[in-house]
Amino acid sequence: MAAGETGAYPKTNMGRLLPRLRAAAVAAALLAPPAGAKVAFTGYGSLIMPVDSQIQVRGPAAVLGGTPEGNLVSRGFRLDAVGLFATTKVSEDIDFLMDLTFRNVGNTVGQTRIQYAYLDAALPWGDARLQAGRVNLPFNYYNSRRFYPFQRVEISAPIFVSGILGLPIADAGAVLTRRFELESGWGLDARAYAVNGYGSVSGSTGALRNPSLPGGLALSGNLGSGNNNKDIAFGGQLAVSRAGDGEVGGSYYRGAWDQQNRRILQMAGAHLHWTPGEFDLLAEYLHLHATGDEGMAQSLRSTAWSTHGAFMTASHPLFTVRGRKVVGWGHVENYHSARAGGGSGREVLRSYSGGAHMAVNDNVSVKGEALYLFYAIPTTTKSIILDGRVIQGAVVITF
Amino acid sequence: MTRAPGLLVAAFLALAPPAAAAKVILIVADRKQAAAAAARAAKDVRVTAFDRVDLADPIEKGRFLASLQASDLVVAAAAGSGACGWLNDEVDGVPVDCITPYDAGQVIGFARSAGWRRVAVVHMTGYEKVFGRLRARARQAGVELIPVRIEKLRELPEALPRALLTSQAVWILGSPSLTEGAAFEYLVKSTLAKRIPLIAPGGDLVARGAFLGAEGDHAAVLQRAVDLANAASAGAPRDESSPEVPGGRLVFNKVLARRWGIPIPGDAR
Repeated sequence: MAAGETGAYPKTNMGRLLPRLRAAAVAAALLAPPAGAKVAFTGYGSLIMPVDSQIQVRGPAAVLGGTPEGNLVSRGFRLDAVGLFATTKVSEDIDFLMDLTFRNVGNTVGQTRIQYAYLDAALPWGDARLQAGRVNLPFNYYNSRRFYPFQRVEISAPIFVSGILGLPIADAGAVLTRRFELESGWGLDARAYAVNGYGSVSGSTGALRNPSLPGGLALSGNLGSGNNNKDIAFGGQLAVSRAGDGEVGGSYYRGAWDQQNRRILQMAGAHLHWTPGEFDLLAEYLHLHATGDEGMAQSLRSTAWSTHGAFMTASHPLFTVRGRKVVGWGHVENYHSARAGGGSGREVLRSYSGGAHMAVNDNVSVKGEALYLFYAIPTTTKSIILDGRVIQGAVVITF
Repeated sequence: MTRAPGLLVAAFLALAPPAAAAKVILIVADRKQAAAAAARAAKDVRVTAFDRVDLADPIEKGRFLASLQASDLVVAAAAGSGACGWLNDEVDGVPVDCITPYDAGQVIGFARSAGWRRVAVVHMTGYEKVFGRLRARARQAGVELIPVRIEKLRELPEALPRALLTSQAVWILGSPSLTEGAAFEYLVKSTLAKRIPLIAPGGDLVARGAFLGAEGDHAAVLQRAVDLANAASAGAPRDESSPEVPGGRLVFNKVLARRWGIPIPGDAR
């Protein structure tokens, strides 16, 4: 690997650096978009209006931050997210795609981030593609194909996977995809990926999740811009699909999350997307298994813990208004976490919701939903409990 | 590793397809048509299906637009999909050739034989070039086409009555938003109330109240589109003169023809 091995360059730092710089320059020149390459900009905005939101909140003040205990009531308008997609063709078979998203925009910008930014290359072998950069992980179905508000009929994404696992699961690395055509229109999509992977919760080196830290319950903040260890997380997905029928598949992820590469997070998932006629059913199962997590040991009484759970969303057109279909939908989810092998001290999340969706035209859709949520997790002092309902409407605009 | 840059260049050059004279994308209505077109097309022409549902997703739309805008020419033979209007609206800086999905010459010929001298042409934005071409052709036959350009469907109730005052027929160009749902029902009701024949892009629309439906020879249209795309890809100068394909047939509403006393060709359905 080193330049000195061939004897072409002296064994100095500069000698080692030069060939790498040249290689990088050649690669950059090859990947650079042709002069005058055009960038296509598209995007979306999502405005949410909670009509009646009442959530009973209980928990340690240190964890809840500025949120007081009691009945949390909210009404009004909230700009949920605004995203800008930029796409350009780098070469005949290579695209570059980027999503810059503003989330929870209010008086101040809540969060601005590059959701994904990657090169997508068609490889000359079959239908193989390679995505490299900050990529969406092909884990289950929702993460890569239902995450955006314009891709789904619901307003709220499934709460456990969006609020705790964190959607979209996007990380720096590469995804290799190949489709194998089967008989009768069926096809098998095989995807494999290698990424930096989840790290520890912000402000801790020994905790993957930590109910005693504000924001520590969610894993979404554990995917940083760099790798926190020498371990590369890997995984893949196998899914069989046919246009008009749907898709069934399984996904896997494994990676060390601590700096010593000893503590492991594994995720396994299975999904079914069934689309007979205008009916649409999506069900996803999720299993998490973590080891060495000192943060959750406070709640689950073990550093090794696991989560099981699933959600299911079904939708079907109910009637039409001025020629536009009004789609009704229902959603249910149930997750629980406990120390590996079972035991007391469970984290529990249950949610039920239903609502309607109507596309006003090609660019605007309106939604309404009623949602019930119960979430509980013990901490060292007292349990965190969220229990309540939300009735809300939303407008989603694409451009 | 010192040979890596050279090897890398060689690998990319080996994988890169030979450059065509022009990058041409052929747009067709659906995947089935795309497969048929792809089978006929030369390897340097990229064939893509036009799917309005997919394009409602801005990520898909961005990818689609990026590929179109990296091309030198877009040829569209996507009857009934609204592709022509969409492409002319959205694609910037790349010429778009829309193949009229039926023989407009037959429609103009019938208008002349029926004695219609002024025909209102209702179209959405994006169809201006198609309209301009048809108007030039109709003028040669002594028929004046009056544009009723609609940017938003809600403009239709204001624009159509004015056109009905001076026109002897109404001709709908392409866009599915005008041939589906409430817009088409409004066009049918308005023209029936004034006893003005409605010309629609598709024989099936006669059963829904149109006086005349123009049906193209789909295989011939596709072949024409493939030929046009192949020629452009090989470097031939762009052919803007004859984007129509002769053939197909006109489907008449015999009940309306009898009631209104409009003679129709004997071999018409």
